[in-house]
Amino acid sequence: MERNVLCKKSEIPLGESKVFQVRRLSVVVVRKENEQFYAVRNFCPHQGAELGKGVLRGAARANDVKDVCYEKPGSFLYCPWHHWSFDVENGCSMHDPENTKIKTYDVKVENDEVVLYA
Amino acid sequence: MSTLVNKKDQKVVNRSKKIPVIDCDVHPNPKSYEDLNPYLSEYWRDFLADCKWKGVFPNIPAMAIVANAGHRMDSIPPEGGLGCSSLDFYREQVADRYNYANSILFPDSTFMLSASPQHEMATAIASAYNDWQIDHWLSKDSSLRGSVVIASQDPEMAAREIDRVGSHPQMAQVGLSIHSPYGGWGDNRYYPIWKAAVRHGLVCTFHVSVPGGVFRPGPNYGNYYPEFQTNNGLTYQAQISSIIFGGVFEKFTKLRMLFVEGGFAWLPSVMYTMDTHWRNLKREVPWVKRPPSQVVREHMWFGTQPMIEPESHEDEKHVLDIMKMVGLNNFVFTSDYPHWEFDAPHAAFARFPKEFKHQIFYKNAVDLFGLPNPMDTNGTN
Ligand code: FES
Repeated sequence: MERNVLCKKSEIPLGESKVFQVRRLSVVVVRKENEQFYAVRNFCPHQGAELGKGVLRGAARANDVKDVCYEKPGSFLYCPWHHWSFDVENGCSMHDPENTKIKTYDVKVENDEVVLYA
Repeated sequence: MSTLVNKKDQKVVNRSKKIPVIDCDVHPNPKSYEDLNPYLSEYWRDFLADCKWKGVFPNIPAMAIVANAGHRMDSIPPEGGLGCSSLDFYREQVADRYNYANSILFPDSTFMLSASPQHEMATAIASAYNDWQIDHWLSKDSSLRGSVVIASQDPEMAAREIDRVGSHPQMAQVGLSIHSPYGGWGDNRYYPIWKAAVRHGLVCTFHVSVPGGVFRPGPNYGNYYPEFQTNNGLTYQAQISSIIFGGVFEKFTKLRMLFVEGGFAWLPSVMYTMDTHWRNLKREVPWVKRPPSQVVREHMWFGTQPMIEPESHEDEKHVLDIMKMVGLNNFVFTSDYPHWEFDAPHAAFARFPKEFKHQIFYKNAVDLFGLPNPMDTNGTN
């Protein structure tokens, strides 16, 4: 596990993401509105699109037919190709959280710098 | 020879020769439409008589092959009347001959009722068919099971009709047409029908039909009957995706549906396609919690007729493979008697494995309709 300094905290605006190349890894770092940072692999397990080119949105869940609630805004990374979506907190996909996941990495803010451990 | 004897009507299921059969698509007719008169209100009885009403079939766009309501030429009983209008002749020509344990009746052509723009007339006729069916068929043979005939144009009225006759001990299903009167079957306007079906533990069965009103939209009706038969599957596909993505089974978790006469070779493709789009666009239909293919396997059954008849041993394996892709538990035998597309059970399945025939001929229908197992020595019908 190596310590990799990626950028200044201010280089990733609130609610947005940025892609970094760390050795041979391509990683999407997400800064949520609540100031938490997350990092996931920049690779969609479906057909290999770059998730970093997708958007961060909430999850649509339904308690009942056509009774939709919109949860965890900014937590799900939607693939730019076919709309598979992944919770950046744990890498789980929305459609099959048990089996379809993306890799997550430890990311921290240290002395105002975004640091990835991978 | 061992036999099963039904105490009530002495119906005998032969257990030593042929595999018993539960036929899930039989279409009884009245001898003439006047037989329905006692079950119509005075208003509708007079009105329909004055207008010389001749049943539901003549209202569909004419094709030579269905001019006689599509009946087998030999299905007219010796004493006359429409095809399958005599219980005795039906037993002799089909049920006894093919060793039927049970038959699920769907009064002939009533699957066209929902194409009528006149809700009140369709509702009155549906109701008359139900009382006629109980008096003339169900009460005369305890091995028979019936369909609650409804006019689905008015789902509230349809639900009331299901409540009126749905608890009859021999009613097994609600009879519906594959063409929905307004929008797809997944639309929530039809909830009262599903709710009532679940209330009475009835399967909802969709039969091939025609679109309503004067329109023949799109290419799926066709100019020729083989074209119509082939393209029927398009309507089934559209309705199945409407029902799945409409979330009907998320709301009505005990609901079971049976689709007859629409084929099944297209099903694996539809299941895979639905799963693909569900994964991609779950954001739009978050109420669909499970992969659509799983929902199909848990809630939908399919009639075998018109059975794809393989040309060679090689092709036969393909047919079996297709059925396995869907799930072998999801098929029930349907003959469509007295229509001329009738499948004779033991001939249509002659080259399939024996275990498969047991499953298709009766086991799956026993599970779907909660019928006694005809191979159970203690079972009675
Ligand atoms: S490549 Fe990501 S959803 Fe298809």
